[in-house]
Amino acid sequence: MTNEKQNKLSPWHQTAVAITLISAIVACIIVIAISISYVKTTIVQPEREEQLVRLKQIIIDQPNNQQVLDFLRELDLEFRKQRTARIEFAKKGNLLLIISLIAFALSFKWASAFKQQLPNPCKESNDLAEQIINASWSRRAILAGVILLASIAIYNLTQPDIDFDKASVLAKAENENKPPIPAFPTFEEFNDNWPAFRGPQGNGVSKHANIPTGFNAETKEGMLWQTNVPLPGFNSPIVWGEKVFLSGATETQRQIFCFDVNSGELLWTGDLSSLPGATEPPDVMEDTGFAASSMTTDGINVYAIFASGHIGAFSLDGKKVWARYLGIPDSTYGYASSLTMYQNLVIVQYDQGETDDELSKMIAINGQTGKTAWETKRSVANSWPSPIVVKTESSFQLITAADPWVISYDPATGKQLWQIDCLGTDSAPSPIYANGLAFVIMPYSELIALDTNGQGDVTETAIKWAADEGIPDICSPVSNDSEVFTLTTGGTLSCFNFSDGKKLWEKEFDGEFNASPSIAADNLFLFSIKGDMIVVKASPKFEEVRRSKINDKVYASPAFMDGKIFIRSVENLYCIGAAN
Amino acid sequence: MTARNVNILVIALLMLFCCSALGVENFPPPDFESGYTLPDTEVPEAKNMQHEYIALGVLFVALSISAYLSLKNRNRKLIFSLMIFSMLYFGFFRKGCICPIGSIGNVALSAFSSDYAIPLIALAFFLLPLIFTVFFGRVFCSAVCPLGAIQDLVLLKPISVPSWLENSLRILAYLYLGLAVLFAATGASFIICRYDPFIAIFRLGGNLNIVILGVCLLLIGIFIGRPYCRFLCPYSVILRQFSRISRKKVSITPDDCIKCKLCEDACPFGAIDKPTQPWPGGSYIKDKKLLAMLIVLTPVIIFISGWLLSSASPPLSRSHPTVSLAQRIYLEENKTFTDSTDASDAFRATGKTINTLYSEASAVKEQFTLGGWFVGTFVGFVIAAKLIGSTIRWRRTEYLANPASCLACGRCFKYCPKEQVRLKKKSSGNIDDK
Repeated sequence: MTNEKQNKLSPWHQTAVAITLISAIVACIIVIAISISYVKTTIVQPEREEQLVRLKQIIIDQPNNQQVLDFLRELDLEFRKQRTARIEFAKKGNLLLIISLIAFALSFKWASAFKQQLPNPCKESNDLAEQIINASWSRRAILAGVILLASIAIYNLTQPDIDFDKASVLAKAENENKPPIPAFPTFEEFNDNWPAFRGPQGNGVSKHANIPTGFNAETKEGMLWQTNVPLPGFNSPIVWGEKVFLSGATETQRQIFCFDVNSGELLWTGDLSSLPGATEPPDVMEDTGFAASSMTTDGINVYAIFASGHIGAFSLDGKKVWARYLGIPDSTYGYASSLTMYQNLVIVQYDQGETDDELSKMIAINGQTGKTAWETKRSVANSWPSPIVVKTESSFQLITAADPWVISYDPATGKQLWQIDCLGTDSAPSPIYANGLAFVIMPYSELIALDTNGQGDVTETAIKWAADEGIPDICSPVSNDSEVFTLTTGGTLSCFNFSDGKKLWEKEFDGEFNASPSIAADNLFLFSIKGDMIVVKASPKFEEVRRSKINDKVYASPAFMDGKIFIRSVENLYCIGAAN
Repeated sequence: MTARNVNILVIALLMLFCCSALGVENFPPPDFESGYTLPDTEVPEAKNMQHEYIALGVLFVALSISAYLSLKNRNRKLIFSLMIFSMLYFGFFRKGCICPIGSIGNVALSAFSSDYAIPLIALAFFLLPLIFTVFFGRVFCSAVCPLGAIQDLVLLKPISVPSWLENSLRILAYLYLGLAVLFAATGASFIICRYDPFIAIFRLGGNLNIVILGVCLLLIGIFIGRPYCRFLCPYSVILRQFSRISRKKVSITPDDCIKCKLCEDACPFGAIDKPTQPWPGGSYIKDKKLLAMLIVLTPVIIFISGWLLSSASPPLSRSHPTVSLAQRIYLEENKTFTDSTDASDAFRATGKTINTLYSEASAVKEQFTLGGWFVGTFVGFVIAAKLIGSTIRWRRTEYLANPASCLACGRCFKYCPKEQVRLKKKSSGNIDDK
């Protein structure tokens, strides 16, 4: 019996062979199982995950679609569970596979040991010839390797490379030649213009004393010009220097218009219609429309936001600077908060959803770059007031009103300064700041005077007084520092004492009012939807000054500049003033 | 096809399929909704060093046992058992880190950067195998290195690599060592760790490309003994040189060689040097001329190699994060890319000027150019030395384990008749344990 046969009959050899086979079979099964899982992960699952991606896109476009949201969450959870299970499976599978492969290799070597053959002394060979050949081939192989590596290196040499020293010099030169970024306007320059909704401070007060008190639409007396606005919108005009800006939008179009202050000529139109974003238009009320938010400007660019969540900047010459999509805001009546400026920051009050949704936020965007400078979340529901940036005794404050909080921020950083829980649902009138106090309105309920010097939650201490008669639901208040005036949609104009909120008088006018009252040259300017301009004295006693009328529908608050009033109706822009 | 070959084919296929098994599935970060409040970032407690010291202790003990088994006990089975233990402990249990091979990066960075202090454990892992090699030869490779162990385990059907090919391929390891030091010294990356081919196997998952690389090396390793150790491992380059001067070396025979030729094919790693024969006069003169020419050409070879590597600094330097970022910013500034990356956005948010970044990138490139000269010179020197070595006729009168190449695996012991005599004497109690 030969050695080999004896080995084959050895029970240890048979055991080794058996272990080899078993471990090989086990390893095969594990590999098949893991491979199937891997194929599922890499081929089948991505197709399903595309469904998840699609749903996410839908939810961006339709954030209120609860059905899609629920399904999305369910699907996402399901995928996560599956992934966790697969990863766990792969980990355990890999461990078992390695163990079975080690067992295979060890048993294979063990089995081979039984079949090991005796060393076979080499045949007589010509060692000398072999040595010479080896040495020769060794040199050739080294040379071949060197040539190969050299070829790779030479190929690399031919590839283009960036000379950072040269690039640095060029970049430096470019920086030196680049026109400096224009400085943002001073507080005084800002106050000389009408750069935002209800003026530079957002309080509806003009510093000019030569504002006309009336006109005659039929004879055109006191009317400088009238021009058509190409797209509808409820936003108010803003003015910087010799240019008036408005925005207009429909379901599919979003545009910005620039008019000449002196002639009313349409100077340029900026288009933001073809921006990426939601494919479906936002769900808005007819009274809100797609362009309810007023624009703002820093004298370098003009900025506009639309109900669709698109925001963009154009230079005063009409060149598009940047544009962004913030996502459709979840707003019951449609987004309407206007933009405001602080230095070079465009401030967006992006209130949406319910309080618990925590979707609302304040966003400050760098006007030159379009990049977010800061963003602060806020626990408020969708609301419609516009933010104001005011100069208080000690600092600048960004004051916002919403349901339920009135919150003040540091406009430079977004840091919250103080907050007061005093408002309710459907908050629409914007806050104002006058003579050290902020005034906010809880629709139909209260006009509230607030101290602005606190820190943190000052609900218990900051409310100076509250009045509860003649309270509007849409129009914002206005103050001349000694009285505060409110105007209801139904036409009731009320006057309150500034210091204690005592009602001094009220007067009812016919018609409906959406435009907020303004003060210029000690007069109150009221605009009804039917186009009546009513001027009354801004004083502790009621005194009507004059009435005028345009045959157009007016929802927007007017803009006041030196000797001029700019009135935006749904379809037209009017300039009231005396001809030079 | 024999049953043995079929088995080898099975294991080869199994290993190929392992690629898919070990490729880690990336788990996407949670898609948090607005309601989720991110938890505060917590700084984890410092890593408990106890395990590291234990590992260092195990390394020391394993090296000592390996030295004893290779030089004194001469027992292949025990060496193999220790090898399996090392693979399980240093490989699978310790997840292959820290290992002496990867510690080259730490040592290089600490040598060239004043901002980096090498951890003592890393330094100890780097030095300990070297010290043992000086005294006992490559006992780290024989049974302690987990990378060597896993390759040794899969060596089922060894075939011999012609010595000329082995000699040439070994240059790759020198090149790899040079590049690893260059990349670490410039702060680009620790490429030995990043491209450790077996780390994904030890960790039961990892980058799919690395898994494929590891499995391919293991597939090759079924036939060619320890391909990574012989042709790529940068640490083996250092160990080879230390092993040449080691005080004690592994010998095939426990006694005088009787030139029976039985051990000639015993080594799967081509580490047995055969006795040489005297050279005929004509060939001798021809080789002498060649030797003289190569010595003259050595500076040229070194210069060309240095120039080539330094010229390759632009693509090499792109692996450095600063150069990579500068290149991205440059392309964005030149409108080649209209979008931005997280890295470029983060850079712009720092307020640092582009000029500063370009200057830093330029400085890094200069480091690569200078380093390329050093690495190229080193590789050129190795090439020249190998070419010269091929013309020198070493005189050997017996079969010897090459001190540089011998991995002290103990496979050759049993082939020696003198060893068999020793073992018989040992079993009968009449032994002078050499």
